[in-house]
Amino acid sequence: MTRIGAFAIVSAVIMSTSANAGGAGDETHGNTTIVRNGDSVAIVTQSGDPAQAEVHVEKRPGYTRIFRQSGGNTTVVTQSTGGNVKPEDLPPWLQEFLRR
Amino acid sequence: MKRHLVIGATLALALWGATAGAAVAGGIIGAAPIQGGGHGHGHGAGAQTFVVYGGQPLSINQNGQYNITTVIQFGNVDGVAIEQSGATNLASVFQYGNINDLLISQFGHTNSAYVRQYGREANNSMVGQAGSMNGAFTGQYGPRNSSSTWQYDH
Repeated sequence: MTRIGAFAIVSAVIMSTSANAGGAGDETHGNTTIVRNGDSVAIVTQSGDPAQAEVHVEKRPGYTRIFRQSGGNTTVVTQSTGGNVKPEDLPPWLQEFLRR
Repeated sequence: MKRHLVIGATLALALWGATAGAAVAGGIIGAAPIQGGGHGHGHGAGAQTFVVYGGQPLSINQNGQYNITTVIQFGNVDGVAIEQSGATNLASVFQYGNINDLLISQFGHTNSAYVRQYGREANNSMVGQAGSMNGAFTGQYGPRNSSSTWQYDH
């Protein structure tokens, strides 16, 4: 078997394993946090010592919030399936900008 | 997870290449804002504000010491790629299309990204930051949301 063939098989196994592992739900593995909620997914990867990372995940049907801080890295992700945006939902400064 | 990373890295490289090519082809716009136009390419330092209607893709490349970009898109399919290389980088993006796609790449000492996507169908966001201080907020409000944030502090 060629090296390319062996690499392809190993890659396929790794990818399928990752996909199966991810299908169960959320993961915090090393430097990466993955949160799935319905049809939404959020992935955060940060450098630094994973043991020192501060990770907060809030999840309920239709809503996900992730806070992750590691070293000089800070990420906040908010996902919501809360319907369409209305004009009044725009930030006031943006409404003013569009009226010009 | 690895599959996501591979897909993400491939997409990032593809969009990055498209961004670089578009920036060269589009020339220098500087700090001039775009309103009502289809698309634009920015290349230069300073503050830039792009308001884009019509769902055309937008690519921005900034490499000054202080880079500030604000993008507001209202098309059916909104796409924007921003690359900033400077000491201080700030990118704010608001997308209101049915389907929103976004890529932000920042390479500086201090990187900040602020994203809000209100897609009726889907929101996709990728943010990559490499700097001493990296901060990213991503807010997605649609039936299908996909967010990937990669931060590397050094």
